[in-house]
Amino acid sequence: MTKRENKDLKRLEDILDTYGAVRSRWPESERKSLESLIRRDVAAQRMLAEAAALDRIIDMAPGMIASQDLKDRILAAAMNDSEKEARVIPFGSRKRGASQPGVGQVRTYWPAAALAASFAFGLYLGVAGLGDQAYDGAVEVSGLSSEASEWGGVTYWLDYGSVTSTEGIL
Amino acid sequence: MPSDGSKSGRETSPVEASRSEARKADQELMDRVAHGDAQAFQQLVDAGIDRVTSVARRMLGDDAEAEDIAQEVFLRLWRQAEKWDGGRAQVSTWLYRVTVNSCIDRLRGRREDTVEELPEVRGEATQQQKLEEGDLQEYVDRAMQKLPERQRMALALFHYENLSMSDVAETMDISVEAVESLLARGRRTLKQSLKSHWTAYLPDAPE
Repeated sequence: MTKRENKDLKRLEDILDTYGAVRSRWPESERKSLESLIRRDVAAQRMLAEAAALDRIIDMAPGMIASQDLKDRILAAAMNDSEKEARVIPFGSRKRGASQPGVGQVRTYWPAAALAASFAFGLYLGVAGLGDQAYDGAVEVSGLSSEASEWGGVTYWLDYGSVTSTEGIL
Repeated sequence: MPSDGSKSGRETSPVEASRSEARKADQELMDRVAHGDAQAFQQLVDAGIDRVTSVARRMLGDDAEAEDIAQEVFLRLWRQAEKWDGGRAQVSTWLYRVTVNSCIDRLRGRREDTVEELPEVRGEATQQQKLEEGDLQEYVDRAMQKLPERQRMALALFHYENLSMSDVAETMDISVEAVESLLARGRRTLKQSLKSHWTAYLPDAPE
Protein backbone atom coordinates (compact mmCIF):
# COMPACT_ATOMS: atom_id res chain seq x y z
CA MET A 1 0.00 0.00 0.00
CA THR A 2 1.40 3.36 -1.00
CA LYS A 3 1.77 6.32 1.29
CA ARG A 4 -0.92 8.10 -0.70
CA GLU A 5 -3.36 5.23 -0.32
CA ASN A 6 -2.73 5.13 3.41
CA LYS A 7 -3.39 8.83 3.62
CA ASP A 8 -6.62 8.48 1.65
CA LEU A 9 -7.83 5.65 3.88
CA LYS A 10 -7.04 7.68 6.98
CA ARG A 11 -9.03 10.58 5.58
CA LEU A 12 -11.96 8.27 4.84
CA GLU A 13 -11.80 6.94 8.38
CA ASP A 14 -11.92 10.48 9.77
CA ILE A 15 -14.87 11.37 7.57
CA LEU A 16 -16.76 8.21 8.55
CA ASP A 17 -16.06 8.78 12.23
CA THR A 18 -17.41 12.30 11.98
CA TYR A 19 -20.21 12.13 9.43
CA GLY A 20 -21.20 8.49 9.31
CA ALA A 21 -21.83 6.41 6.22
CA VAL A 22 -24.43 8.55 4.46
CA ARG A 23 -22.44 10.02 1.63
CA SER A 24 -24.74 12.96 1.00
CA ARG A 25 -23.69 14.26 4.40
CA TRP A 26 -19.99 14.21 3.67
CA PRO A 27 -18.24 17.46 2.75
CA GLU A 28 -19.01 18.09 -0.90
CA SER A 29 -15.42 18.99 -1.65
CA GLU A 30 -14.22 15.49 -0.73
CA ARG A 31 -17.17 13.34 -1.72
CA LYS A 32 -16.05 12.44 -5.25
CA SER A 33 -12.51 11.46 -4.32
CA LEU A 34 -13.71 9.35 -1.39
CA GLU A 35 -16.32 7.62 -3.52
CA SER A 36 -13.67 6.83 -6.06
CA LEU A 37 -11.49 5.37 -3.30
CA ILE A 38 -14.35 3.19 -2.10
CA ARG A 39 -14.99 1.86 -5.60
CA ARG A 40 -11.44 0.66 -6.03
CA ASP A 41 -10.31 -0.26 -2.50
CA VAL A 42 -11.60 -3.25 -0.52
CA ALA A 43 -10.39 -1.83 2.80
CA ALA A 44 -12.32 1.35 2.11
CA GLN A 45 -15.43 -0.68 1.34
CA ARG A 46 -15.05 -2.51 4.61
CA MET A 47 -14.73 0.79 6.50
CA LEU A 48 -17.87 2.10 4.86
CA ALA A 49 -19.78 -1.08 5.76
CA GLU A 50 -18.70 -0.75 9.38
CA ALA A 51 -19.78 2.87 9.54
CA ALA A 52 -23.15 1.96 8.03
CA ALA A 53 -23.61 -0.79 10.62
CA LEU A 54 -22.80 1.64 13.41
CA ASP A 55 -25.26 4.17 11.95
CA ARG A 56 -27.92 1.51 12.01
CA ILE A 57 -27.32 0.80 15.68
CA ILE A 58 -27.15 4.48 16.62
CA ASP A 59 -30.49 4.97 14.88
CA MET A 60 -32.04 2.72 17.49
CA ALA A 61 -31.68 5.21 20.32
CA PRO A 62 -35.26 6.21 21.05
CA GLY A 63 -36.47 9.66 20.11
CA MET A 64 -39.86 10.94 21.09
CA ILE A 65 -42.98 12.00 19.24
CA ALA A 66 -44.95 14.51 21.25
CA SER A 67 -48.40 13.38 22.33
CA GLN A 68 -51.50 15.45 21.62
CA ASP A 69 -51.92 15.70 25.38
CA LEU A 70 -48.54 17.44 25.67
CA LYS A 71 -49.43 19.86 22.88
CA ASP A 72 -52.74 20.62 24.59
CA ARG A 73 -51.01 21.22 27.90
CA ILE A 74 -48.56 23.64 26.32
CA LEU A 75 -51.33 25.57 24.60
CA ALA A 76 -53.38 25.67 27.80
CA ALA A 77 -50.37 26.88 29.80
CA ALA A 78 -49.74 29.63 27.26
CA MET A 79 -53.34 30.76 27.34
CA ASN A 80 -53.35 30.85 31.14
CA ASP A 81 -50.03 32.63 31.03
CA SER A 82 -51.58 35.30 28.89
CA GLU A 83 -54.27 35.89 31.47
CA LYS A 84 -51.77 36.10 34.27
CA GLU A 85 -49.47 38.55 32.56
CA ALA A 86 -52.30 41.03 32.27
CA ARG A 87 -52.79 41.06 36.02
CA VAL A 88 -52.23 44.43 37.63
CA ILE A 89 -51.08 44.31 41.19
CA PRO A 90 -51.26 47.59 43.01
CA PHE A 91 -48.12 49.03 44.44
CA GLY A 92 -47.96 49.33 48.19
CA SER A 93 -45.54 48.47 50.95
CA ARG A 94 -44.23 45.28 49.39
CA LYS A 95 -40.97 43.64 48.70
CA ARG A 96 -39.73 42.49 45.33
CA GLY A 97 -40.51 38.92 44.49
CA ALA A 98 -37.81 36.30 44.63
CA SER A 99 -36.37 35.24 41.32
CA GLN A 100 -38.67 32.64 39.86
CA PRO A 101 -39.66 31.63 36.39
CA GLY A 102 -41.60 34.55 35.02
CA VAL A 103 -43.81 35.43 32.16
CA GLY A 104 -43.41 37.92 29.37
CA GLN A 105 -43.71 41.61 29.47
CA VAL A 106 -47.06 43.20 29.97
CA ARG A 107 -48.18 44.56 26.67
CA THR A 108 -51.82 45.21 27.37
CA TYR A 109 -52.90 48.66 28.37
CA TRP A 110 -55.60 48.33 30.95
CA PRO A 111 -58.63 50.46 31.08
CA ALA A 112 -58.45 53.23 33.61
CA ALA A 113 -61.33 51.63 35.48
CA ALA A 114 -59.30 48.49 36.12
CA LEU A 115 -56.39 50.54 37.41
CA ALA A 116 -58.63 52.52 39.65
CA ALA A 117 -60.20 49.35 41.00
CA SER A 118 -56.78 47.81 41.60
CA PHE A 119 -55.57 50.94 43.28
CA ALA A 120 -58.59 50.97 45.53
CA PHE A 121 -58.03 47.32 46.36
CA GLY A 122 -54.41 48.13 47.22
CA LEU A 123 -55.51 50.87 49.54
CA TYR A 124 -57.83 48.41 51.22
CA LEU A 125 -55.01 45.88 51.62
CA GLY A 126 -52.69 48.56 52.94
CA VAL A 127 -55.26 49.71 55.50
CA ALA A 128 -55.99 46.13 56.48
CA GLY A 129 -52.28 45.35 56.74
CA LEU A 130 -52.58 42.57 54.18
CA GLY A 131 -50.42 44.05 51.45
CA ASP A 132 -47.34 41.85 51.79
CA GLN A 133 -49.34 38.70 52.28
CA ALA A 134 -51.53 39.35 49.29
CA TYR A 135 -48.58 40.21 47.09
CA ASP A 136 -46.54 37.20 48.16
CA GLY A 137 -49.54 35.03 47.54
CA ALA A 138 -49.98 36.40 44.08
CA VAL A 139 -46.35 35.77 43.24
CA GLU A 140 -46.51 32.29 44.64
CA VAL A 141 -49.62 31.39 42.70
CA SER A 142 -48.47 32.84 39.41
CA GLY A 143 -44.82 31.81 39.69
CA LEU A 144 -43.68 35.22 38.62
CA SER A 145 -40.71 37.43 39.16
CA SER A 146 -41.59 41.06 39.26
CA GLU A 147 -40.28 44.50 38.79
CA ALA A 148 -41.87 47.83 39.55
CA SER A 149 -42.69 50.29 36.83
CA GLU A 150 -44.55 53.52 36.38
CA TRP A 151 -47.45 54.09 34.06
CA GLY A 152 -50.09 56.71 34.03
CA GLY A 153 -49.02 58.09 37.35
CA VAL A 154 -49.82 54.81 39.08
CA THR A 155 -47.11 52.43 40.10
CA TYR A 156 -47.85 48.83 39.30
CA TRP A 157 -45.93 45.68 38.69
CA LEU A 158 -44.69 44.21 35.48
CA ASP A 159 -43.71 40.61 35.07
CA TYR A 160 -40.61 39.71 33.15
CA GLY A 161 -39.32 36.44 31.84
CA SER A 162 -36.52 34.85 33.81
CA VAL A 163 -33.02 35.35 32.50
CA THR A 164 -31.28 32.11 31.67
CA SER A 165 -28.36 30.95 29.65
CA THR A 166 -30.51 31.19 26.55
CA GLU A 167 -31.06 34.91 26.93
CA GLY A 168 -29.86 36.95 23.99
CA ILE A 169 -30.59 34.41 21.33
CA LEU A 170 -33.50 36.33 20.01
CA MET B 1 -26.02 37.93 9.84
CA PRO B 2 -25.02 37.74 6.19
CA SER B 3 -26.48 40.33 3.91
CA ASP B 4 -28.29 39.48 0.73
CA GLY B 5 -25.11 40.14 -1.14
CA SER B 6 -26.38 43.23 -2.93
CA LYS B 7 -23.44 45.34 -1.76
CA SER B 8 -20.86 43.05 -3.26
CA GLY B 9 -22.95 42.25 -6.27
CA ARG B 10 -22.91 38.57 -5.23
CA GLU B 11 -26.07 36.68 -6.01
CA THR B 12 -28.03 35.18 -3.16
CA SER B 13 -27.54 31.43 -3.04
CA PRO B 14 -30.62 29.18 -3.09
CA VAL B 15 -29.88 28.13 0.49
CA GLU B 16 -29.63 31.72 1.67
CA ALA B 17 -32.79 32.63 -0.22
CA SER B 18 -34.65 29.73 1.31
CA ARG B 19 -33.50 30.67 4.81
CA SER B 20 -34.45 34.26 4.24
CA GLU B 21 -37.94 33.16 3.23
CA ALA B 22 -38.18 30.92 6.27
CA ARG B 23 -37.13 33.75 8.56
CA LYS B 24 -39.71 36.01 6.98
CA ALA B 25 -42.44 33.45 7.52
CA ASP B 26 -41.27 32.96 11.09
CA GLN B 27 -41.35 36.69 11.71
CA GLU B 28 -44.93 36.89 10.53
CA LEU B 29 -45.96 34.05 12.82
CA MET B 30 -44.06 35.49 15.76
CA ASP B 31 -45.68 38.90 15.21
CA ARG B 32 -49.02 37.16 15.55
CA VAL B 33 -47.89 35.26 18.63
CA ALA B 34 -46.71 38.55 20.15
CA HIS B 35 -50.29 39.74 19.85
CA GLY B 36 -51.56 36.66 21.64
CA ASP B 37 -52.68 34.75 18.55
CA ALA B 38 -53.24 31.23 19.84
CA GLN B 39 -53.60 29.79 16.37
CA ALA B 40 -50.20 31.07 15.33
CA PHE B 41 -48.69 29.68 18.50
CA GLN B 42 -50.32 26.33 17.84
CA GLN B 43 -48.79 26.32 14.37
CA LEU B 44 -45.35 26.81 15.86
CA VAL B 45 -45.94 24.10 18.45
CA ASP B 46 -47.17 21.63 15.84
CA ALA B 47 -44.23 22.37 13.56
CA GLY B 48 -41.50 22.21 16.17
CA ILE B 49 -42.49 20.11 19.12
CA ASP B 50 -41.28 16.73 17.86
CA ARG B 51 -37.83 18.18 17.28
CA VAL B 52 -37.78 19.54 20.80
CA THR B 53 -38.98 16.34 22.47
CA SER B 54 -36.66 14.13 20.41
CA VAL B 55 -33.56 16.16 21.16
CA ALA B 56 -34.51 16.46 24.83
CA ARG B 57 -35.25 12.73 25.07
CA ARG B 58 -31.89 11.87 23.55
CA MET B 59 -30.09 14.35 25.74
CA LEU B 60 -31.83 13.40 28.98
CA GLY B 61 -32.85 9.78 28.40
CA ASP B 62 -36.21 10.34 30.05
CA ASP B 63 -39.66 10.88 28.51
CA ALA B 64 -41.12 12.89 31.37
CA GLU B 65 -38.17 15.24 31.50
CA ALA B 66 -38.30 15.68 27.74
CA GLU B 67 -41.94 16.75 28.10
CA ASP B 68 -40.98 19.22 30.82
CA ILE B 69 -38.34 20.69 28.54
CA ALA B 70 -40.86 21.02 25.70
CA GLN B 71 -43.23 22.93 27.97
CA GLU B 72 -40.46 25.23 29.16
CA VAL B 73 -39.18 25.90 25.67
CA PHE B 74 -42.52 26.70 24.10
CA LEU B 75 -43.67 28.85 26.98
CA ARG B 76 -40.47 30.81 26.61
CA LEU B 77 -41.20 31.21 22.91
CA TRP B 78 -44.69 32.45 23.76
CA ARG B 79 -43.37 34.89 26.32
CA GLN B 80 -40.55 36.27 24.23
CA ALA B 81 -42.43 36.62 20.96
CA GLU B 82 -42.60 40.38 21.31
CA LYS B 83 -38.81 40.59 21.30
CA TRP B 84 -38.36 38.31 18.33
CA ASP B 85 -35.77 39.44 15.81
CA GLY B 86 -36.38 37.37 12.72
CA GLY B 87 -33.19 38.62 11.10
CA ARG B 88 -31.05 36.72 13.59
CA ALA B 89 -32.38 33.20 13.59
CA GLN B 90 -35.09 30.90 12.39
CA VAL B 91 -37.56 29.64 14.95
CA SER B 92 -36.31 26.09 14.43
CA THR B 93 -32.72 27.11 15.22
CA TRP B 94 -33.91 29.01 18.28
CA LEU B 95 -35.91 26.00 19.46
CA TYR B 96 -32.94 23.68 19.12
CA ARG B 97 -30.68 26.11 20.90
CA VAL B 98 -33.01 26.75 23.82
CA THR B 99 -33.71 23.03 24.05
CA VAL B 100 -30.07 22.01 24.30
CA ASN B 101 -29.33 24.78 26.78
CA SER B 102 -32.30 23.76 28.91
CA CYS B 103 -31.13 20.15 28.78
CA ILE B 104 -27.63 21.17 29.85
CA ASP B 105 -29.09 23.10 32.78
CA ARG B 106 -30.93 19.96 33.83
CA LEU B 107 -27.98 17.67 33.35
CA ARG B 108 -25.81 19.91 35.48
CA GLY B 109 -28.39 19.61 38.21
CA ARG B 110 -28.07 15.87 38.22
CA ARG B 111 -25.54 13.95 40.16
CA GLU B 112 -22.81 12.65 37.91
CA ASP B 113 -23.05 9.12 39.18
CA THR B 114 -26.69 8.62 38.32
CA VAL B 115 -25.96 6.99 34.97
CA GLU B 116 -25.67 3.28 35.40
CA GLU B 117 -22.65 1.45 34.14
CA LEU B 118 -23.17 -0.43 30.92
CA PRO B 119 -23.46 -4.13 31.58
CA GLU B 120 -20.55 -6.25 30.47
CA VAL B 121 -21.13 -7.60 26.99
CA ARG B 122 -19.94 -11.11 26.44
CA GLY B 123 -20.06 -13.37 23.44
CA GLU B 124 -19.86 -12.76 19.74
CA ALA B 125 -21.91 -10.76 17.34
CA THR B 126 -24.65 -13.33 17.49
CA GLN B 127 -25.60 -11.96 20.89
CA GLN B 128 -27.37 -9.30 18.87
CA GLN B 129 -29.97 -11.86 17.94
CA LYS B 130 -30.64 -12.66 21.57
CA LEU B 131 -31.62 -9.14 22.35
CA GLU B 132 -35.15 -8.11 21.77
CA GLU B 133 -35.61 -4.88 19.86
CA GLY B 134 -36.60 -3.05 23.04
CA ASP B 135 -33.55 -4.29 24.90
CA LEU B 136 -31.28 -3.15 22.13
CA GLN B 137 -32.92 0.26 22.06
CA GLU B 138 -32.38 0.57 25.77
CA TYR B 139 -28.79 -0.55 25.46
CA VAL B 140 -28.06 2.00 22.74
CA ASP B 141 -29.87 4.66 24.74
CA ARG B 142 -27.69 3.94 27.75
CA ALA B 143 -24.55 4.04 25.67
CA MET B 144 -25.67 7.44 24.38
CA GLN B 145 -26.37 8.67 27.89
CA LYS B 146 -22.83 7.74 28.89
CA LEU B 147 -21.33 10.10 26.33
CA PRO B 148 -20.22 13.52 27.52
CA GLU B 149 -23.13 15.91 27.11
CA ARG B 150 -21.66 17.97 24.28
CA GLN B 151 -20.82 14.89 22.23
CA ARG B 152 -24.34 13.65 22.81
CA MET B 153 -25.72 17.01 21.82
CA ALA B 154 -23.71 17.11 18.59
CA LEU B 155 -24.91 13.61 17.71
CA ALA B 156 -28.51 14.43 18.55
CA LEU B 157 -28.49 17.44 16.25
CA PHE B 158 -26.38 16.10 13.40
CA HIS B 159 -27.20 12.41 13.27
CA TYR B 160 -30.80 12.32 14.47
CA GLU B 161 -32.08 15.75 13.52
CA ASN B 162 -30.14 15.87 10.27
CA LEU B 163 -29.02 19.43 10.83
CA SER B 164 -26.17 20.61 8.64
CA MET B 165 -22.76 20.94 10.24
CA SER B 166 -23.01 24.73 10.15
CA ASP B 167 -26.47 24.67 11.74
CA VAL B 168 -25.20 22.42 14.53
CA ALA B 169 -22.31 24.82 15.05
CA GLU B 170 -24.70 27.77 15.18
CA THR B 171 -27.03 25.98 17.58
CA MET B 172 -24.20 24.98 19.90
CA ASP B 173 -22.45 28.31 19.45
CA ILE B 174 -19.15 26.70 18.56
CA SER B 175 -17.07 26.36 15.39
CA VAL B 176 -17.69 23.75 12.70
CA GLU B 177 -14.31 22.22 13.54
CA ALA B 178 -15.35 21.85 17.17
CA VAL B 179 -18.58 20.10 16.12
CA GLU B 180 -16.60 17.74 13.89
CA SER B 181 -14.35 16.89 16.78
CA LEU B 182 -17.28 16.24 19.12
CA LEU B 183 -18.99 14.03 16.56
CA ALA B 184 -15.85 12.03 15.85
CA ARG B 185 -15.15 11.43 19.53
CA GLY B 186 -18.76 10.51 20.21
CA ARG B 187 -18.98 8.06 17.34
CA ARG B 188 -15.64 6.46 18.19
CA THR B 189 -16.80 5.89 21.75
CA LEU B 190 -20.07 4.36 20.54
CA LYS B 191 -18.18 2.26 18.03
CA GLN B 192 -16.28 0.70 20.91
CA SER B 193 -19.10 0.38 23.43
CA LEU B 194 -21.58 -1.02 20.88
CA LYS B 195 -19.16 -3.15 18.92
CA SER B 196 -20.84 -6.45 19.66
CA HIS B 197 -24.07 -5.02 18.26
CA TRP B 198 -23.07 -3.16 15.12
CA THR B 199 -20.83 -5.96 13.93
CA ALA B 200 -23.93 -8.11 13.65
CA TYR B 201 -25.07 -5.80 10.86
CA LEU B 202 -22.00 -6.28 8.72
CA PRO B 203 -22.62 -8.06 5.43
CA ASP B 204 -20.36 -10.95 6.43
CA ALA B 205 -21.65 -11.23 10.00
CA PRO B 206 -22.41 -14.78 11.15
CA GLU B 207 -26.07 -15.73 11.18
